Amino acid sequence: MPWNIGILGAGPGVAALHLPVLGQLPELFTVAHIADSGSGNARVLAERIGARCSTGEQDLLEDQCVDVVAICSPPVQHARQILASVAADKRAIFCEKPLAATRQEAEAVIEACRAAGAILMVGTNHLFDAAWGRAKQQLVALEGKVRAVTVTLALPPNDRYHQLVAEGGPFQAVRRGAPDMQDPAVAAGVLRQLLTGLAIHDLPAVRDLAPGIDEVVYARLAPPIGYLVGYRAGDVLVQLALTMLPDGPEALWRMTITTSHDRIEVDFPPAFVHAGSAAVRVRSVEGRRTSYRRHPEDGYVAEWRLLATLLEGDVPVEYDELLADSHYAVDLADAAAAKILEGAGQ
Amino acid sequence: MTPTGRRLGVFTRLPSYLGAAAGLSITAIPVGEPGGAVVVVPGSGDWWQGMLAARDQGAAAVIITDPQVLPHENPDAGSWPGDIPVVVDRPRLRPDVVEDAVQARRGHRARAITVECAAPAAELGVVASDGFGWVRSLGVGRLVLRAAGGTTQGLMALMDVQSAGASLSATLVGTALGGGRGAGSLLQVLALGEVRTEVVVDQPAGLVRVETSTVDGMLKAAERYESPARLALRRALDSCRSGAPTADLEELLVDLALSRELLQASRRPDV
Repeated sequence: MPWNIGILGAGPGVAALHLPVLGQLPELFTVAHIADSGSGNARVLAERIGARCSTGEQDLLEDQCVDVVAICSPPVQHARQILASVAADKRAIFCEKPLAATRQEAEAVIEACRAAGAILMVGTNHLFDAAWGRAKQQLVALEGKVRAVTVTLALPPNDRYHQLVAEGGPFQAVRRGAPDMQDPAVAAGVLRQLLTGLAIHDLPAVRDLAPGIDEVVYARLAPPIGYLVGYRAGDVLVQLALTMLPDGPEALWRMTITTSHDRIEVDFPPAFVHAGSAAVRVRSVEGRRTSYRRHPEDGYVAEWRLLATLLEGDVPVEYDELLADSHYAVDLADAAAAKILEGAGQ
Repeated sequence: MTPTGRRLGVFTRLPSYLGAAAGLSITAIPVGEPGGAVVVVPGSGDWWQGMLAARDQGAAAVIITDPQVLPHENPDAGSWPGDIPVVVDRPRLRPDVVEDAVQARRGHRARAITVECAAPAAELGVVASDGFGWVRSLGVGRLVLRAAGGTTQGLMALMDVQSAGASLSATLVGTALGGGRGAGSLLQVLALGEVRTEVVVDQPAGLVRVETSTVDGMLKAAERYESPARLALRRALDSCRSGAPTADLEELLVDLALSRELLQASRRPDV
């Protein structure tokens, strides 16, 4: 029998991503309930798939049919909703990234899930992409020492890809007024949001290669929306770069790992689309290039499959890793935001 | 070539430049004396002194080939008399390839530029200087180092690219490659924006790739088959013939100075 899912949130990520993905996995999951915070989107989405809908969290959490709560709400709600799901005795929680906004929140949710035996998964889809596994295998096989990691994102608007995977919407996130980037506190806050909202896709993988954040060398917003952040983690240099543009070429989402001898490039497909795994290329010190075959399944599908495996009890939940990933993201966001404020004070 | 149509001499022992002269047989001829000739100065040694010596010996022009090392003292363009053309053969920063990349952007300004480079430790500074040259060219402005950091085997920098009334951010991350046969430099440049430029110069692979992406798709620049030596020699001959100076030396010194500043600054937290 498929597991019944209740989704908290009814924005573009649910409409264009999770509902289409879960629709590919009917043998594993059924979406039973969708709740929004009053937008009315939950009813629209639920009607299309014959699910129940509600406003607020309470009805969904009290729905005895729901086995798994998928938290797809704004990040500031995540930790509280995880705790509420555990309190409602739900069997499993799928939480969109980030897990929590602060170290304390992260510790609280991990402690609660561990104590209750609740399964917890964070939707860092790149971590579950088969190509990332391939890249890690290459790193072990090549025996090189990692010297630098870069993650470069150049993204056109998401709705370009929403239209390719779903129809009807809602595909537009709630619009907010343009923040005053001249105010250092606002700029620091925006950078923090971008790191915990977008860079977070790859931070668990980056942490694998560059644990710890010893020194933020630079942190800067790149207009119109973007960042350039460079830091040192032991003997590894890390750079995170983002530009988001109202128009422009196909999305670029690339992680590179430079070792003492080789360079591994992992090109992820654009968000939302289902084009298989990322593409992995290795360039040797002699200039030889090897490209590896893409896996047909993408990280979005892979993460839901893994959740099913966790529900079957075949693999344990890695609570400590989830906590360490969350700490890493929060620490980086805090340190980068502090760097912006420090620069403003000089 | 002189105004009278005679071929201009090329003073060199480097096989690549003798080959280049053979490929320019109407305008150039190898000669045994530097006086009145285009003198090729290998960039592997003290090329600054070599350049000054060539001028003293009456060279008509100087070509510096692939400067591999930073001069001990950071020379100043002002200390070069500038009375004869100087062409710098920078295989990772060929002017024709740079022009391909810049032209394909059709005037669209980049939003940010990133450079990643890897090279044997001794070459990392020079490869970084070529990276700066790419940033300067694609960003169309003057570079100012804003922050730098490093490890024992790597360095990173944040820069402003300043041009009239505008500024954009650029970064460089460079790492030292381990030894081994065939180890060579790699330079990758990304100019991000409504038009995206990706440049890859992979020395051991013999690969130079320029791709320009827009909302409509990607344009790959045609491969430039002219050898770096022939290109440099042709440019030197053209400069002698036309009397038009090149900016090669000034640009090289600017890029090398920034590279030196980065190497020094990456060992301390603030510039």
